[in-house]
Amino acid sequence: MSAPRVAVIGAGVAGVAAAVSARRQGASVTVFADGPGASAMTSGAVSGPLDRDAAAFSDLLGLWRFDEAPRVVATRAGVLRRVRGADASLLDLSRLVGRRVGVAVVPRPGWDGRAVARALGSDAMAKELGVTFVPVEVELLHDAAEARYPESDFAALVEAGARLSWTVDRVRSVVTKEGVDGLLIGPWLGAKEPVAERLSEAVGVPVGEVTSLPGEAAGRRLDRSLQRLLGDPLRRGAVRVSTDLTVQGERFDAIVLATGGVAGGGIELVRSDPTLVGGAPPHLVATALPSALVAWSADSAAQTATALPSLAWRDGAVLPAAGIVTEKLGVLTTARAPTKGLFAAGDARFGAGTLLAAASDGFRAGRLASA
Amino acid sequence: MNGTGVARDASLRGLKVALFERNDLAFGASGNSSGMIHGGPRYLSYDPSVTHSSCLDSGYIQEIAPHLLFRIPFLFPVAEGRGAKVALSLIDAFFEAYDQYQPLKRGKPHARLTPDELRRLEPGLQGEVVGGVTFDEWGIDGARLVTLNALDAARNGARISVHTTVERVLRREDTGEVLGVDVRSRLTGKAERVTCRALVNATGAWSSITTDLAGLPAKSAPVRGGKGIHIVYDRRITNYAVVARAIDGRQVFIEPWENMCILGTTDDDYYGDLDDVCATEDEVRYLEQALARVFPSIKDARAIGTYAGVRPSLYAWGPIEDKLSREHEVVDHEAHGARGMFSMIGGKLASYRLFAEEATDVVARFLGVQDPCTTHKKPLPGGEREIDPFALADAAEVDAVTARRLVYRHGAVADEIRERIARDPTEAAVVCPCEPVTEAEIRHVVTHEHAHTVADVSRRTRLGLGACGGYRCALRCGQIIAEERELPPKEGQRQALSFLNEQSRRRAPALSVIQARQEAVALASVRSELGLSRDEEGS
Repeated sequence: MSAPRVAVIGAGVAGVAAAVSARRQGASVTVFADGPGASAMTSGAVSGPLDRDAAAFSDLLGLWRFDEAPRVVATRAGVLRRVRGADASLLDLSRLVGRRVGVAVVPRPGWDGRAVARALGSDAMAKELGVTFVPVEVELLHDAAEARYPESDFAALVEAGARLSWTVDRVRSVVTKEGVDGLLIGPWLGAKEPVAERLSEAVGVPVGEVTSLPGEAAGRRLDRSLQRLLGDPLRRGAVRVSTDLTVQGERFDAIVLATGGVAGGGIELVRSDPTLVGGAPPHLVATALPSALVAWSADSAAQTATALPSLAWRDGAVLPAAGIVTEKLGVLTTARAPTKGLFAAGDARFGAGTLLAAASDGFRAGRLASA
Repeated sequence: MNGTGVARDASLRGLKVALFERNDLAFGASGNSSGMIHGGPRYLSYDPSVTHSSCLDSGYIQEIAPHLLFRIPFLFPVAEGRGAKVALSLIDAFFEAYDQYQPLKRGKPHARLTPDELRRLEPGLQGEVVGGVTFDEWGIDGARLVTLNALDAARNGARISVHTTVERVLRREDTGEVLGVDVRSRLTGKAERVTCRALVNATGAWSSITTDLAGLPAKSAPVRGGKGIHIVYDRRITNYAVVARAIDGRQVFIEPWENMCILGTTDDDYYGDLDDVCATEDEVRYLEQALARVFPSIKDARAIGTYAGVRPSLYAWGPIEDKLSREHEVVDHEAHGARGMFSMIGGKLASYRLFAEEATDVVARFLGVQDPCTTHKKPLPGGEREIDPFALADAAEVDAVTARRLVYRHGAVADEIRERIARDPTEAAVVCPCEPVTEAEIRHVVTHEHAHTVADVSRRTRLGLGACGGYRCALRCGQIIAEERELPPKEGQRQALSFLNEQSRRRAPALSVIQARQEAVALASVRSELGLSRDEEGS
């Protein structure tokens, strides 16, 4: 019997996990993707349960770090968060219990090192861990123009060998002078891959980033790592799947929808032209499912109306409103019958969830799809 | 508006005043109006006294707070159709009559325009028109007007307590006379009893609730609450306000307002929760549909929020909402057995000062105080002299736009904020880039303008009400408030999140497809920054 042909829609964490997992089972996998989704906007914190599938995926990805105990990462808002794991470039405060951590003061717009240090200092967990934060001026800009670079472009600079050495020198001298046990800086340590570990080793104390905002380094790194893991070229562009398991005219044995939720672009809000009287009220649709599969119904509109004011985009309520109802990993159509061979994974299946849950879900979906 | 207006007038006349506000200054209709002190041209045909008093009082407002006003020129296109030319002539004549009142508020006379002239002024206008009219109105930030009145009252000895709700109105057992109030702070939970000789109920749409607290019958201060919503757009889509007709014949308009555009308004009887008035998708579509007929590019415009308020109109069963008189009335509750209690019903922003004067006259007479009203002569805080924003920009080392906005909101008091920056240059940091709002201004309003929460600061400075929706500034604002008021940092974060959730809720009915996704991303990132995501620790 020839290898099963599996299509994966979406190249975020869930999609790539599904693709890699299906390949391991011997399937021939084609991945379709329409652009960056929620994965490309990750903060760098990696939450969720680290089960066997998620761990397998993470090993392949090579970007995330986990220990026995949870890590502690810092946010610009001045909050310390306990997370299961994190991107390798994020500073892990759990290793700096009772220590003095410097917060870099760098003249980049939107980064106020002193304010961050002050805010972190008054965080309850910081007090619990006995970590103190002090602002320290660090020369990270080679010239004043770099202050204007967008965040992830600035993060990319440090990847070059000469620049890295230059940065190591600057950081090392400051660390020595101020006598700090670690250094916390903005999301500037590599856009293709994490540089913090190399930097820390060269400097001699842990140096790491705060969590990233959408568009910043952690998202770029995850996006790049996912692409690298996938290897094969993607088919770019928005697609719709159909009940007979065809995508863009090609027939597959199984399809995995890993299109994400509202944040990822897999679920869209549809509004009709306000100048038309009697147009449909706003409703949510799953972008990859054609209307034949999921007709707009009064139910879904009502559910949208509930989801809309409270903006419960992250809740599972959004999915039924867009027509995605899954039983285990199958997809139910509005006819309330599971569609054989059609699976959903990640945010597309359970609403806004964690990275590890998406990884694990995708890995499992890929396995099921290749069966 | 009514409450702070009376507090100011009364305190200027030497009376000892305490003001209690359940929510925040300008929380109700006063902070959710169209942002104009318009002369009420629509009343000209059936209630010209309203037009006269509006224009006269608008003139006074200009004198006492000149920094708060900015011109909004209106375009009134008349669509082609049966009787259109006659309609245009009638409208021309109407505004000719309105011109009589314009000098009272230093307004410019109207002009009749040909279709070409109309389109030259505003190329976005569509549809066949026979011509139109342009007339002149003044824009104002209602929340600032309310705040300045409260500040002046405080300066003259009044006690201003926001986030403090009246739980009971105390009356004498035998005579029914008003003795005082039981109040409770919604911030601290602390209760207090305050005695008084006179009580002014200026609670607007909440009036009947207040009279109920005094044990008065339901009809003693009847208010017919009319809900009105507005949609806010991220930039000036037009430099002229444009009047349009909605599907039910009502007039709506889009107006350029400060650094954005506002589309409004509706007028519907409201029976819901007054503390939580929110625009619905229906109302949003109604307004968009109305304007799109004459200004189609509104469909592509980016709505960044909505706001809603309930007008406290004089109660009258029968008339359609728009036809209700905007006149005001002072009710003396001695007629209901509660001597010493007075209610203010109705009123408009444009004639608030006059209404406050009338109410204060009644109270002063009751208390035997002879001092005359001076609120039309004394400048509001900041209105004493003019400040050059460019000079301020140089002196404070902030950019010109920031300086200009500071001068708009604070007038002469902008100098005090400049002094803050001189003492601590880090306070020149811009916290809200959309507006822009500096750290110095935030600290100033927290310490001097009774701001307790991020929402309060937002009302006073427009922080977080711009294109970014607060996502770039609310958290930092919360931090600053926590510092200034010595609250735990978690409280500042909670306030910021509460503000963002509220704004998000209000934005939801007007979101476009792309914005919905942006909203989901922005909310997720705020939760991440505050460590509120689920499954923090994993297995």
